[in-house]
Amino acid sequence: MSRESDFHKLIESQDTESKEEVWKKLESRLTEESSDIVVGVGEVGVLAKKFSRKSRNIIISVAACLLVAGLVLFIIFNPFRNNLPNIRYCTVNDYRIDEVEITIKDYAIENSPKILYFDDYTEFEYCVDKQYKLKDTNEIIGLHEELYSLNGAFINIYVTDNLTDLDVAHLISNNCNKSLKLDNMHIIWGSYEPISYAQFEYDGYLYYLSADYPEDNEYVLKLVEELLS
Amino acid sequence: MGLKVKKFILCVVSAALLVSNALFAFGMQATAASEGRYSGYGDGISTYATTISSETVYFTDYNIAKTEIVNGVPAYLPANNLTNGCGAVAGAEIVGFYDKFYEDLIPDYRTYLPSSGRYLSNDSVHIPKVMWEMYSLMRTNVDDVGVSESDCLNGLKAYVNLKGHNLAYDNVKKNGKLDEATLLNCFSNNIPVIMFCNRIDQYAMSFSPNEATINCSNYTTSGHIIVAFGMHIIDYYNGNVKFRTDKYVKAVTGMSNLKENYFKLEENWCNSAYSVTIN
Repeated sequence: MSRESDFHKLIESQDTESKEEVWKKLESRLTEESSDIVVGVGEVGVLAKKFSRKSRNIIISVAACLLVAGLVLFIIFNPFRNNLPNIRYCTVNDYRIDEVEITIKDYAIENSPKILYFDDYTEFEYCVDKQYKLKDTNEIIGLHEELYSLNGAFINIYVTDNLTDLDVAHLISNNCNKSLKLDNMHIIWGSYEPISYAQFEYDGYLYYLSADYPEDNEYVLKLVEELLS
Repeated sequence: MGLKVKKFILCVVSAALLVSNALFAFGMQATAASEGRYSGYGDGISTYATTISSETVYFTDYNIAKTEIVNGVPAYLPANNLTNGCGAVAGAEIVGFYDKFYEDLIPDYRTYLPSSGRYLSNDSVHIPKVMWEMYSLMRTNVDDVGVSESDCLNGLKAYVNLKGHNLAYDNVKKNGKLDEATLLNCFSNNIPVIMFCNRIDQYAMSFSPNEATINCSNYTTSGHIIVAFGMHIIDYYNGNVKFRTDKYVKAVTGMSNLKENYFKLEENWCNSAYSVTIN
């Protein structure tokens, strides 16, 4: 408002003829939607470009619609979507656990040579193997081996492919908060004595290990080395 | 009788009915609340955890005082298709524990490794058989989903009695809280504690020389039953000054992704808890 009153005073301060011309110009310009208001009164010139509120709102609305439309189209036709792997999360509702006579070593030799395994079962007093199978298809989605080593270490190893997220593996991965490199492999691990935990991926398979061994809080790393050797 | 008097009597009678109905409804609700249902894993517990907190504690030194039953208790998982069977799993874990001392509790089966005393996980025959017996004795899914506390305790006791043994329960909550001294006494004397939980918070801890990472995640449950076998008291120091103490109850949960868990002692996750002595 102060700007308007200054403007009004400026015009009123001119002589009558100039003043009347200016008021006429102003009146005609005020009827236009957008206008360049140039008032040359004496040595004072003011240039102001205004868009009306209506046209501004239209521009904003159109821009918003284009943005939303673009996002929707991207989501529908995402060129990258089909290239992302679908990782399945499997819980006790999806699978059953069968105790089997086949060790991870036997299974690897028969079905998948890429799977790592402990080579020498004579090191273990006790070995129990289980397979996690989907209830509806009987597909084997995970292997579990529970081992009791002659040195007193209690070991669990779980193996899944890298497109399967088995809920049971989380009891290990939730305890892994450190990382290191072993034989150029990225290992995530952790320990809360006397149990140490580790997980890593190798050649398309995920490995989760725990070792309950009071003599060594990092025993699991020795087991990882043994698997990778 | 005048109209006014009749109206007065009607009002009094209506008010009396209203009050008695309210009291009845409150009483029923109170009864229902005290006999909550525990439906456990699978159908009863969300299989996704929500992270509540993650913190790193820095220290110059720490000390963990552990009081645990020797070799713990068996960490069983539900037998296949044992829907809402957390009571049966907990009962089997207790029986599996005591089978080391009374081998007729689970006939023709040894629940532990003789060389170390360490408990084994489920086999495919004997432990599922125990679970299904418990499931039936506990009246699982009969009145409603899962078990009530009383059915769970009665069913476990019935199983033990059928095997020719006695079972006694002792409350380990005092003044509405888990009693630390009572719990420590139980675990020192190799007595497991069955606990009826209203929430499952997973505490995952990992220690390095000068820092510990503690992650807490919550699994949604309407009620779950666990068996506790230990307590860890962790003191953190900066120099000679102890600046923090955390106390955890250690328990087997019957959950495949959380076989053993630490529950923070002071938090309100436990509706009731009883030591279980079998002889």
